[in-house]
Amino acid sequence: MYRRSAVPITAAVVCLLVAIEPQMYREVIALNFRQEHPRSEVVLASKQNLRAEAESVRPHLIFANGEVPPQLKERGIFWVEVRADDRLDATISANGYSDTIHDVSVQNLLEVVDKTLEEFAHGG
Amino acid sequence: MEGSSTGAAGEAQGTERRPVRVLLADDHKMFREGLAGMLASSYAEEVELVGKTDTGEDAVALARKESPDVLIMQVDEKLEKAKETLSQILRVDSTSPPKVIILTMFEDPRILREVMKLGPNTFVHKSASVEELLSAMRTTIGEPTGENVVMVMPQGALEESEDGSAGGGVLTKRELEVLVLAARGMNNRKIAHHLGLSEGTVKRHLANIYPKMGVGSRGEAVRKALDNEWLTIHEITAEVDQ
Repeated sequence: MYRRSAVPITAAVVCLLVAIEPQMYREVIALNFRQEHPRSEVVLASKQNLRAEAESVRPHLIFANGEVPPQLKERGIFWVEVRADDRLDATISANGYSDTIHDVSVQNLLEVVDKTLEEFAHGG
Repeated sequence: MEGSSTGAAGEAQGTERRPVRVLLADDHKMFREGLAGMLASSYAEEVELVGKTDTGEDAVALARKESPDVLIMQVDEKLEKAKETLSQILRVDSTSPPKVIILTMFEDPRILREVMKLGPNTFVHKSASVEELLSAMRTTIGEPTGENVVMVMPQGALEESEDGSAGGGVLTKRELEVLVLAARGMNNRKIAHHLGLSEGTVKRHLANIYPKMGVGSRGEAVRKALDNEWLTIHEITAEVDQ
């Protein structure tokens, strides 16, 4: 897994689309992202309007329950698919890197955001 | 288990209100940590998280150590375990037990009914917003008698609970009432009188009950309801003014 950068990445602006269900989880995650990366654009979407929001805001990174629509994956977007069981497991795909994390934490998700910022920091 | 031994920050000084001391028990690390971070950064004046854990045992230990004002506890399929944990926590300080807020993902009315038997002060479905959770907590704290249950749940689940459209043969509250009285040996006329309904309405409820339960008679319905624990012997044998 990525390690979070010791030096805050403050210059970059990326768009994060958070479509995790249920709503309470989505809001909690989004607020943590906004706190850690205040310059990033954090957009919330329900499962139902994930695709429409993705078309509208063109996110760099998507967090969703279950499978992120293949049409979005094909665009080279980074994505995290979260699945709920006894614990929450997450499958991560970021620029060719992929990993599955059991009992995913906020820290794990922030590491993916960091990676996204590194990749897209200069308009990539 | 992660606890705080700093005590309630901002104890009442003059008119200043101290933060509500909250213990959080939830299996999902992402939510547990995320909510903790959110409360610490955005609601620190109102809420002090005194501990968070993913196990019932730790929740009991933290309740003993921290004496929280509020326990926010996730309930999933392990209802019996949740019941045991709650009963232990409420016994920790029987004179001033924490108010209990249950968080769940359940929408099935039958399971919700079981969850409500755990005796929470507040019940919040996770499809609610964080603001709704906090609003429910404020209401719970401000409710001195503890007699009212605060509920935040999807309207759809409530409607299913009322009209029985949840599928899989779920009985409505009224149908269960009719079934209980039928199980007590009342005929349709007496059931109608007892519930303030017409006899025809009682017949209609029974006609709805049988196919939902996959049975053909009152006797079969009662046996199945007992087998599935929709009814208890106590409910059937409780004294009723006939």
